[in-house]
Amino acid sequence: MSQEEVMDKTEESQVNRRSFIQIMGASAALASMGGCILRRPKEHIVPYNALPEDMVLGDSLDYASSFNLTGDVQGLLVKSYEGRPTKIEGLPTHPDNKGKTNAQSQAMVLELYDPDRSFAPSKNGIVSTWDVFEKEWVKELKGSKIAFLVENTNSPSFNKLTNQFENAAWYQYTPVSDVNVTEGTNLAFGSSYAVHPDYSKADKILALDCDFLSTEPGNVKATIEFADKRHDKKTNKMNRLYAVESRFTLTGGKADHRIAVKSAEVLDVLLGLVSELADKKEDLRSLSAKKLTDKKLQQRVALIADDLLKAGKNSLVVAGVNQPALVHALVAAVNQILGAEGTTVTYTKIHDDVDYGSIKELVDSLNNEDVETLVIIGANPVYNAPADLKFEQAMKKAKTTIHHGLHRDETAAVCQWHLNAAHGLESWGDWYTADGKVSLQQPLIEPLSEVVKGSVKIGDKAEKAYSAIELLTVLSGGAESGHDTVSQHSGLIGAGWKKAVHDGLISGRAYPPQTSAIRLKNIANKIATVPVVSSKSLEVVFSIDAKVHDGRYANNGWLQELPDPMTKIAWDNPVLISHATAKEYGLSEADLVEVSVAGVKAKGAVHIMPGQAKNSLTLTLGYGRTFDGEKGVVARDVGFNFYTLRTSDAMNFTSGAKITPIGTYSFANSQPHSVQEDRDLVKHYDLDLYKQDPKIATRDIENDIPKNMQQKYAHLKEKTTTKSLSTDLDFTKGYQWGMSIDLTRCTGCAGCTVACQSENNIPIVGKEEMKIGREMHWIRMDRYFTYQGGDNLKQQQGTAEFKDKSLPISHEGDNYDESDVSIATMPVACQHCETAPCEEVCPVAATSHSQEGLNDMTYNRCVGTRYCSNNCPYKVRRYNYYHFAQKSPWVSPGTTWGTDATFGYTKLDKLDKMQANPHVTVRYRGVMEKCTYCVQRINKARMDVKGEGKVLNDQDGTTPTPACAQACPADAIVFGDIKDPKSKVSELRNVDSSYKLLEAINTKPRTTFISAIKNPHPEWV
Amino acid sequence: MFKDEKFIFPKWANLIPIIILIVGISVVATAHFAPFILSASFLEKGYSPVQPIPFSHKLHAGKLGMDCRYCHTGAEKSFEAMVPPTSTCMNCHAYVKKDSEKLKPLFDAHEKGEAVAWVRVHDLPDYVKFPHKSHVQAGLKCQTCHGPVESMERVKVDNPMSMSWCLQCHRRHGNEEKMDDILSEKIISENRTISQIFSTHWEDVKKTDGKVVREGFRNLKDLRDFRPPTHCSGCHQ
Repeated sequence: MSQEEVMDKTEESQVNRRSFIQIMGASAALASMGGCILRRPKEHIVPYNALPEDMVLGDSLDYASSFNLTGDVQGLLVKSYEGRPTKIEGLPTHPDNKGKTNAQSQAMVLELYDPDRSFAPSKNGIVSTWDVFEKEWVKELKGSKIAFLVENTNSPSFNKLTNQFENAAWYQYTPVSDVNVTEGTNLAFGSSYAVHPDYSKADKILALDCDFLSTEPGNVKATIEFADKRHDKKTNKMNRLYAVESRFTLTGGKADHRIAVKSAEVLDVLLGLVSELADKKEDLRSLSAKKLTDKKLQQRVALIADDLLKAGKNSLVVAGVNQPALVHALVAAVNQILGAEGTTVTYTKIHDDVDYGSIKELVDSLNNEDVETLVIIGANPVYNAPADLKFEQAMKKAKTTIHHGLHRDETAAVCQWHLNAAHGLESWGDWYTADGKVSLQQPLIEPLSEVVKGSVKIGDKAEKAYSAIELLTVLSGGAESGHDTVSQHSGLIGAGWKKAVHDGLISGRAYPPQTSAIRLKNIANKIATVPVVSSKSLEVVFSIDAKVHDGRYANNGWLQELPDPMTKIAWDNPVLISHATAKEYGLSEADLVEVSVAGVKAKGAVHIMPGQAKNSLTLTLGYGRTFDGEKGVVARDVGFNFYTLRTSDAMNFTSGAKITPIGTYSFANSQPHSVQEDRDLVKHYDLDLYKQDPKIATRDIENDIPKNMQQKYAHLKEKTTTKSLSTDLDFTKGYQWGMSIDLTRCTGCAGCTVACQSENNIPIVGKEEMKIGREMHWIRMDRYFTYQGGDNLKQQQGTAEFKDKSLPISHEGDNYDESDVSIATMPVACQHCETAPCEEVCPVAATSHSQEGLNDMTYNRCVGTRYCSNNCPYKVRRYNYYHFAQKSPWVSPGTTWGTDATFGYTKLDKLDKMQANPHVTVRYRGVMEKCTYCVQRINKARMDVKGEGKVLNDQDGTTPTPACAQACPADAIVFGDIKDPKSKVSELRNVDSSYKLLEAINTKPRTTFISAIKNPHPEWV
Repeated sequence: MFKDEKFIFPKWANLIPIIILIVGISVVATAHFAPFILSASFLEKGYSPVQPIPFSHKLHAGKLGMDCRYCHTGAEKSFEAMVPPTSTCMNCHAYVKKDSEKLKPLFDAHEKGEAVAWVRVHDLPDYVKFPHKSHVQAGLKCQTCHGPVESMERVKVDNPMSMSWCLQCHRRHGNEEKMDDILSEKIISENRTISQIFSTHWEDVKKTDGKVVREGFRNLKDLRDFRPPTHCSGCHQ
């Protein structure tokens, strides 16, 4: 790797020694000539014609808005500078996400500025205008038999507008939906309900194929609640999480115990659990559930059952949307019988304003030629509909096809009309949250148009863009604006409406909880019909992606470049396979393979994933996009499309797959080495051990140095009094900033990485550069595999030999139990060492220390020697090998910097610059950069209180919050003044389990970590 | 002609010592003066571009005595002091000098809903953030950096606005032992009221604030965060 980093083949061929000297000579001559006439170019100040009210240049204006991802709603507070939205933050007063966000909602602001978005309607692929469309619609397109296929059904205003159309049929489709949940509750209760788990009350949780911390809907709310309950530092009380799953998810990684089984076998595990519970709870006996054949597994399930029974109403069982209705019905039954219903889980009605049909029904009526005009709003069925429905062929039977969406995507390409949609930050909207509250979506900017984009201009005016709500108004011949529709539907006027817009929420609309008795007989009947699947048969599981979801965010560079929280692979969707299964099928890491399911074949590339259930392949959806854009098209040819294997009878998983190697492939893996090699970088302890020896983390320093080197560096252990190389700074005055990261809370979701990227103008580099380790993320999420199993685990606990838990995974071919694999996650940004090694080696003093303890990086001084990066023990410094900022963030994945433009320089569109935070310098080529603790926020906060004669402190809530800490849904990152004994960060630095990363090397970091504590069952087998 | 011809220097060779001398002097002179020629006090100071409208600070701020904040509304609120929107000018010029030829660009801009593109005079590099608000809060008068704007017909850069110039103040100010030096130099005076800060009568204030300075300094010193930043990230963020 190091060789590749230094030697750049592309540039080597372009500039040789001779031409270099020529250029140098020329520039020296120019410099001497221009000496007397040097001035920076003339700049203009263009003020407003009339300044908008409340606007102060240099300060952001924040507006409440909402993020909606197929029913998963988050309240947002969007920062806007001079009318440009630049940063998404959570809305602190929103009851669900409480000011927190995840990677996808953070990245929403980049989606707004996507140059591949469509900015004008097109007819048969030729650019047209809305006016033409509207005329044609009234004249001829509006046939007598209209069918609408929509994606989002949780907008009250939209649902109301559907009444405006007589004789129209309404259908709904999203690739991943909670249809199994509603069917399951229907089976259990006799009517369909939405399920609302409350993790803040749950002491014992069993998650069945349910990644509630990352990919399931409502993951932000779940993470907030789960993290709060995770570990009480004072009483040492912890919740306990069991995960049963096929794919190794973040939830499985956070779990205290994990059982890796195929997705199809989750039902068997659940039935095993029911059989154990039935011993105590007579009601469940009528289900006559079978015990598992695997004795060890049944023993484990018995322990879980015992734990759940003990927790009683504070227990909680949840199941993922991937699991069949029967599992959800059984879960509802178990929760009710355990007494959890009403405490840790509640049910409400489902938004039932409109009865939407399924995509299958739509295809049937298309094939029967019952549809003259098909209007597709938001959905992209040509790409992601079940393959067996052959949607594209069926669609052609309609006389007129109209697509409305953000991109000219796969569906737009085959529709006669494509209409450009307004983005969520450009239009009014309202969204039901899961339990019926209504969040308001407020626009911050007029729809971006061709004029802003700087290319084709149609007519004299900027072309319009309509949101889904406005589209329905237009189609029904109405004239209301989006604002009027939403405000009328809210029923609020005047001050009430203004308050709702300000709060981003219409209060008092939540549905009341519902309940009814479980119909055990129905469930028992259903159990009897379940077919038996051979455990040897190879299973494929279709999973949504933690980053690009079902493919809708595929063109978002931030999300593409974010390493997957579990695999750490970016710009790809690997086929996940367990070690044993890979061996069985003769596969090795990064083999190009052909996966075939029921005769249909698809290409993919395998990644061997520790912890993956045996005989189960995970195929992640959302990649392999083919749509056309106008510029780079980030999404094109990234990864593989597995929608082609997905059929309507097996939407989630199916058996009988085959996999054969056909070649090789390469991934951009940001962390190829995933074991800690003797060193406990993430110090992780079991609760029992921690209780016996609370100071264990601070005593553990010697393990920072690998065992084979300990003798060599023995002198480091002794307290020496040698003089420090660092300049002595007085850290007793003024503010002293520090950060504490609680690894017990951290789930590893990597939301912090994207938050940092949007706050600090961090460029993206593309797959090829990432392969050679040139990614630019200031805060990275390290993920290490740990191993909880082993025969003599118990005897070794607490001894020195016990340290290396991760060893079995590091040895390929060793036979280890996938269930016993766990992970430890750790966000690593610049540690802001008080005796920073980087500062000692910088020849130009471009990195130096501030009085407030920050390790400053001065870009305009940096000459790019990269000594600092080499001397940094944490490897957090990032170098601009090319002028990445000039292309970011719309680099297409195959880009090789330096070939298509000299020194990687291309001119940016107006649009590309609009997202940048004006308070952070955009870095040029050849400059080192790294985490600044968001110094722009510190300076701003200081400036704001100084005039009032106050100091920044936690009591007044004036302490600045860096972007990572602001976004973190687990509240794992806390920032503040470590000199102030009353600050939260001081408190956390002093807890027993607090430690510094690589403390033995005496860098005195300002960032401290709190060890990851797990709460395993004491009798686990 | 001689058979065994000796090499004789051509005549121009007599010039070599002079050429060496001239080149030598110019090299030394360049090395000596280049830092000055390339410095901000040479390149920036005195820069006074022609503006699209010959707006006179001497008239508005000096003769009419308008408060700086009437136009530069951001100075005490934000990073930017802000150049006023067209509508601010029109508050008066809708009635005053309605037919002025010189003001035509303003009226045109107002009619079209556009803005006047002023030429930036004080132009810091993009990698520096200068917060007006902090400096106003610290009691600095506008003139401390911008010079006697109220006497300028056309605004010019009065101070070099270079990093070393900024640091002169920041370094002294942060050093408590040198407090008395600072007080005697009267570079800053913390106890000015906000209206004094924005008062355009520069000379008056200069004379009167001798005593109040001391007390104001003490007040601010008690605050933990008194010291102005001298570290890099104070301005380069």
